Amino acid sequence: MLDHDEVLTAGTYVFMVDPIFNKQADVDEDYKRISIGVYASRTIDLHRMPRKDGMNAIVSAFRTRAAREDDFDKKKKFDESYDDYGGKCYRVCDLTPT
Amino acid sequence: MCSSAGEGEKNLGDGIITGHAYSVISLYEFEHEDEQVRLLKLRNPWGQGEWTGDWSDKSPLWTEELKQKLSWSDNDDGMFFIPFEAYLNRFVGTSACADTNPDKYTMQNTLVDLNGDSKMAFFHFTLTEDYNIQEDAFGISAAQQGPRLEKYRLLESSGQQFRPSDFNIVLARLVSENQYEIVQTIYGG
Repeated sequence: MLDHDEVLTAGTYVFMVDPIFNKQADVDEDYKRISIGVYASRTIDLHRMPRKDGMNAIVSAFRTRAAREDDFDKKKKFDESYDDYGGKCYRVCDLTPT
Repeated sequence: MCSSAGEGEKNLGDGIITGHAYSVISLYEFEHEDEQVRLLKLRNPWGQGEWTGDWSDKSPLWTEELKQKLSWSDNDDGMFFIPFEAYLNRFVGTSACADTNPDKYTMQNTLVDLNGDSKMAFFHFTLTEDYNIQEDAFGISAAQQGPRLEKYRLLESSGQQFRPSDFNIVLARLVSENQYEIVQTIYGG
């Protein structure tokens, strides 16, 4: 994840890593040991968050985005051929902060 | 740069040293005998010790034309070609950096086990000053570790070839009490 447009202001951040394990990851459980790294020009203390707290933060982030996004042209239906989603949910394509 | 699987530095027979970092020099894709071939050119920083399988220095797969085209040489100089499929089975991490001043950057790594129900992992961190990404690079990465090289070899001999999984990563900023806003999302890891 490298961002060339954003400026990270002082403050607290949370990030979620959500693997979409493929069938081959089931071949050996060691494939589900994930190395997570942060690359930055200053030392950043990384703290693991409890799943519940982390999920609440991410849900809040998506709600904030959805509430602010009023340009429906930027919202696009998931591919209807994708059985898991069909016409049931939308995604915001352009997540540039407003 | 790429890093091989396994712990400790051992040559398990195919020339690749376990738990060792190599330089990725270049990538090639071409047709050979009606098959698409993808090769990586790697360098062992020890200046010796090379892959000995398909497309290695002494592999009979090389034609005179390909030798010239890809600057092949049969020297034990640490430089060698390896097929992409074999690379996937033996290396657990690949990274690239184009910054002209790498000394100013730091990399913090943590290893988590995402077996079972606790599939997603959440982290938080705090920045005490403004961080200008237009000037300073910032990255979050996720990579599968995989089994030790001994297991890789068993899997490979049973016909299993590893393909990396995808990752979603979402970065959000705390804007007020318990309220966050999305900074960036990425699919692919």
